Amino acid sequence: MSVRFTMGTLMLCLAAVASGCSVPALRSAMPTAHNLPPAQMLMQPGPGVGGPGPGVIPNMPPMGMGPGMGMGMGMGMGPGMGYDGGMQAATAQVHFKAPVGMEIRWDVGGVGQYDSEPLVVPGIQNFPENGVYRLKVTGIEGREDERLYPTLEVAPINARTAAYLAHTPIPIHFTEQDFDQALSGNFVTKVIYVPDPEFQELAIGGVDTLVSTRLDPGVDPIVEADHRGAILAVIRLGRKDMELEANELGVMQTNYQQGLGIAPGYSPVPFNQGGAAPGYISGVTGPAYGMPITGTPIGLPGPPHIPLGVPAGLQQHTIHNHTPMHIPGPTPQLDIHLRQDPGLSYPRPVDTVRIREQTIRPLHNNMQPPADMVHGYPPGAGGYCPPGGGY
Amino acid sequence: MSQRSWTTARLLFALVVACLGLEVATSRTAQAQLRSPHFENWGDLPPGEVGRRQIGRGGPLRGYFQPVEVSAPEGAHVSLLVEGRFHNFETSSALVGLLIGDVYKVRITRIPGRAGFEVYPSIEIIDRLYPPQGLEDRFPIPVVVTQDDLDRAVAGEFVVRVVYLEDPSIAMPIPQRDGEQRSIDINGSDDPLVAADQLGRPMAIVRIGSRVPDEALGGGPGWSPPLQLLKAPEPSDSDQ
Repeated sequence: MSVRFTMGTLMLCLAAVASGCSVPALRSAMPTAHNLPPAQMLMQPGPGVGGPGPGVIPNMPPMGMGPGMGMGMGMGMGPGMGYDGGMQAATAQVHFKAPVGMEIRWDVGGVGQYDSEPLVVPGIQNFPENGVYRLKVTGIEGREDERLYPTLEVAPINARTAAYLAHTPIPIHFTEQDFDQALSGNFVTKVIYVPDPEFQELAIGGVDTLVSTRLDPGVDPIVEADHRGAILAVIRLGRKDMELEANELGVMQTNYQQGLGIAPGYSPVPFNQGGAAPGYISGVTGPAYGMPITGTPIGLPGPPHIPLGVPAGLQQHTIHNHTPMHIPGPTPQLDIHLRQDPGLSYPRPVDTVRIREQTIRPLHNNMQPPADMVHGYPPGAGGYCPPGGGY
Repeated sequence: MSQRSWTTARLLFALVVACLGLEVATSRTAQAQLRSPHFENWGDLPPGEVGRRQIGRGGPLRGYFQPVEVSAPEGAHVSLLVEGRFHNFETSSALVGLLIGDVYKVRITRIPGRAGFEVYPSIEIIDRLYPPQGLEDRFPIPVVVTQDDLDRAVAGEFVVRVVYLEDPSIAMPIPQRDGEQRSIDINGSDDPLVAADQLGRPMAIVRIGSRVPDEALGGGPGWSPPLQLLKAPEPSDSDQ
């Protein structure tokens, strides 16, 4: 019995090692899959509180330093200023390659002006790093009546992209498929990135492009490109007309209004500042008559009994939240275990040195020149050389 | 318990230990082949970073003007950024002394077969030679920008050349003609600096692309590191 148990254990270990599997359930009693709230909820610092979140400082240029005047990196690594002293703006050069003949404008004097000199494709233009620029695209061959307003987001320059951006412009191609997708109402995202070495094989010219319309549904091209390498730029293309002449005040909202329920065009400021309750005027100081402020699961425009004049059918509306929630409290103590892989490894210091000197022996024996040879007996009696044996 | 059962159990236990050892060994070998932990310089580092690290290691590198002979295809013109302006030497080669750790901009114009195109490579010297005193100019580092490099750059590709001093024990016993510089094409997944380090001692990194620098776009004079003009025609005025 003991032998069978031992053999069974060994076989189990052998199977685990051979398959390389791990057992997550043994690591922790907690469920391994965690679900985050939707992104819209994560953007807010808390329930009912809007804004970019605590501690988030909007990306604004420093005072007195507009685009193109920013300080470079201290070590002078960035392109544009890269290896030229670090006092020039960090810019990325963008090469608009296709379609030929298309005109591109961007803002110079103000937002929404598109008052730059038109750039006729193919052409190059420098854009400061870490910025989003709205472009106006006109003169598309075969689509002369169309005008599109894509955005160009130039990613911040990092050590991975500095060498490339210092020597090569970012290639931007607009294809017919991109225009077809955008004009048919789809949102196109193109991500240009420098692939990591393991993804470098398929890249042409050192960069690769991911297009949202060519990926599987649900795959974010930005996340995928960030996984594969370092992002250089992002192009977002849609059909929204940024120069549409329309009077927003002339648009009347239908149905009910959220919030205070004030009719359009009226001030939300109360009539009497802090006095008695204002008189209820339907559609002016309160919701319009019969308009609900709370939805019901059956879609009744409640309260149902007032306009119909019959007793209320739906008298109670209760919502039970059965969402499984596991929101732990703050961690009182945090232990960080760092492991760098591959680890640091230096050669062992030298503790033994073995030196072997080898002298090249000439092919012939070095002999004393005959002119320097001494013939005869050494001076003094009792010489050590026998008679007749002098050299 | 029989003797046979014990033997079988021992055999299985030895097999488990062997599999564990093999798994650890293979994983470490794979990591070692991916990137050597002893090598901390890579070809995709920002320009100037490798040279700065070399100077930081010490040695007679700081302040030494390493003679470099920059060569372009026959008929092309080589210019170097001197004091913020491109000086055209009106020849296809120039012999200059460059500081180690700095990055120098080069402009190549009149490219054969590429009329109207200009390419702006950069040269980063990361090590020096030790020739006999007084004969430094006779042994420069040859930096050859080939027609293929220029064609690739014009097409939008980014070319990195690492010039290395051959290890005499593994040098190729093939005579080299004047003006020729043999090169080895590596895969895109390999690092050129690592490959050059395996074949000898890397001396310079040449990066070639099609970006037009701000100095040529009218962005004002840029900063340029000092250099020595060793043997070249009198530079003409800047034609930027």
